[in-house]
Amino acid sequence: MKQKTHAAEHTEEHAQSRSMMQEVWRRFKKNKGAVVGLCIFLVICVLAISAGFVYDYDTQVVGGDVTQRLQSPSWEHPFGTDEMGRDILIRVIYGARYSLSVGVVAVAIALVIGVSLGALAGYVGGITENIIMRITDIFIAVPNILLAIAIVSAMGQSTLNLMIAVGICSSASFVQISRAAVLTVRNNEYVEAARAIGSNSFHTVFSHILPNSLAPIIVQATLRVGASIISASSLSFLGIGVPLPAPEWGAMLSGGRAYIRDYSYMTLFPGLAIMLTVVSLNLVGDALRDAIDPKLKK
Amino acid sequence: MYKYILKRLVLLIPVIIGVSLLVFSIMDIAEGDPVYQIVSETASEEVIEATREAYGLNDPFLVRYARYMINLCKGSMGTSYITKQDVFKTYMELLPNTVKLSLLAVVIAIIVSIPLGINAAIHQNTWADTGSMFTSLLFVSMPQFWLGLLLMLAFALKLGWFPSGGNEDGLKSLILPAFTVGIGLAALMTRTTRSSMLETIRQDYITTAKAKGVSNKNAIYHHAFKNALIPIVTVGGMQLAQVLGGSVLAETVFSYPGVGRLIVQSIERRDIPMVTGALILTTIIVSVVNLATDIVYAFIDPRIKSQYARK
Repeated sequence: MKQKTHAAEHTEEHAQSRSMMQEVWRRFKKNKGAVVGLCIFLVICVLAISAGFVYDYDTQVVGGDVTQRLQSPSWEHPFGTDEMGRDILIRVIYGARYSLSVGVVAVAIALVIGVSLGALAGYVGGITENIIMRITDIFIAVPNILLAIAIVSAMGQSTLNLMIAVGICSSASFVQISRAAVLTVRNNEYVEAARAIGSNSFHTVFSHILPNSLAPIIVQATLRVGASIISASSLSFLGIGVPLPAPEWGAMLSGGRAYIRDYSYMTLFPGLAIMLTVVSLNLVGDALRDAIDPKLKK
Repeated sequence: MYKYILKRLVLLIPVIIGVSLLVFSIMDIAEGDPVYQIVSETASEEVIEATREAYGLNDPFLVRYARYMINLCKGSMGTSYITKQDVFKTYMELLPNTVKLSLLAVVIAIIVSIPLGINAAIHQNTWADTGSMFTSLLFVSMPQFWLGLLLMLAFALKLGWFPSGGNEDGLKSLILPAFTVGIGLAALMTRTTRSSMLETIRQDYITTAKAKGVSNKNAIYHHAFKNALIPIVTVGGMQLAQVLGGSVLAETVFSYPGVGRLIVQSIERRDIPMVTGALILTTIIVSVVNLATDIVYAFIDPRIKSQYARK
């Protein structure tokens, strides 16, 4: 009996010694959807990275056979070919490179802008906070997609500008989340202790406050990558995203629209690719949120 | 309560000024000379210069912005560079189309999402729950324009039940765009309804009600649902605001003449007065709908209402 209590105490001690990240990972692993989502996402990443080793875009797609145009899916062309005889499967795989990089870079831009402004607002307070939050209100008031269209058309159409536009549009939500996160930990004793031992504001924010308010920011970032992929492909669909003839999924759907009546497979596969990628990111994001804040799950 | 509404309306003014400044500066840094949207590129130097003067394009940025804002206060949003039509009038002509589309989309979303969400919450962790959560995950992750293309393919081109674009057929031409917007919304609201319902049915007062002999069904529909409705209404209102401003993709896929499509077309043509005016008007509408959501929220939740009453 005594031994048993000892063992229980031991496991409890062990659980406490586990870091928060390990604990989150343990809960994350238990979620079947999350594991499936993570696997799908990793497969898509591997395909995007290794596309160049398996296929040669220049000879197989750009130098494709025009006589092979508008072929329905077959063994030779599993997803069929488009109006210029380009293989849709290879284009969809190469398209992952555009969508993933636009999604990730846009969120990175949003993180840099949003977290620094949000942390500043939350930590400094006063007039600075007021100004930052009122500017954020303005960005939230304008519908995201319209703002992104306006920014891209002003800066000129290019992949980088698309990333910047989508990033700027997502940054407002990061400002709000990181401000709120900083506000909740700002008055904790350890922050006060850090200040008492002479840590300057910059150091206090980056070493003591931000690491402890990361959880909601990470969750939002994961979900935002998916949303950014949808925004970016929407802009490409409208003809102002990634410039043609790049095999971006939204642009491929826009091209397939003219042939939708007789060659509907052209509008099927790029859309499925977007959906699969975003589903996997949403599964991971939702599971991360539940793992970080188990109160929500119950 | 009225004080609160008034305060919120007054707070809207700096947002509108900010939005106009933002839109004005974005359009200002855009490449290309707007004068060529007014006269042809082959026009003589004198004509171009005269047009610049007439439209005040030679003035510095702040002068043009100040002039625009003064005119705005006088109730004029200017005329389009391209169609020479009054900006406000053009926008107001198309607005009813977008409002119809948005309202129908939200109605569809509510009809689909509330029963599905409640059912999923009551039968948590069963197949009904997993199934509806998985389906809503798929639709949440679907780009709106792709869903639009699929609906168009199935119901307009293959089955021929609805027109594939335009708005000549009244309600019939509204159905597909509204479902395109509404299905995505429904997916989002099903998730909200479920989590809100789950939170409510675990509250002590529901247990109390059941302990006092209220039937399960009664407890859910009369005791829990009313309280679970609060976050659902908030999300619904926010979504309505979002749709009013962001149905541009559905409008584009179905060539539906709404304000979203007007803004996209005007941005492409660099029709600065039209873009600025339309974006400001859209922002006002979105903000007012958001404010209305907050007020409705206070009305259905007496706890919040009493907070305002005290202020």
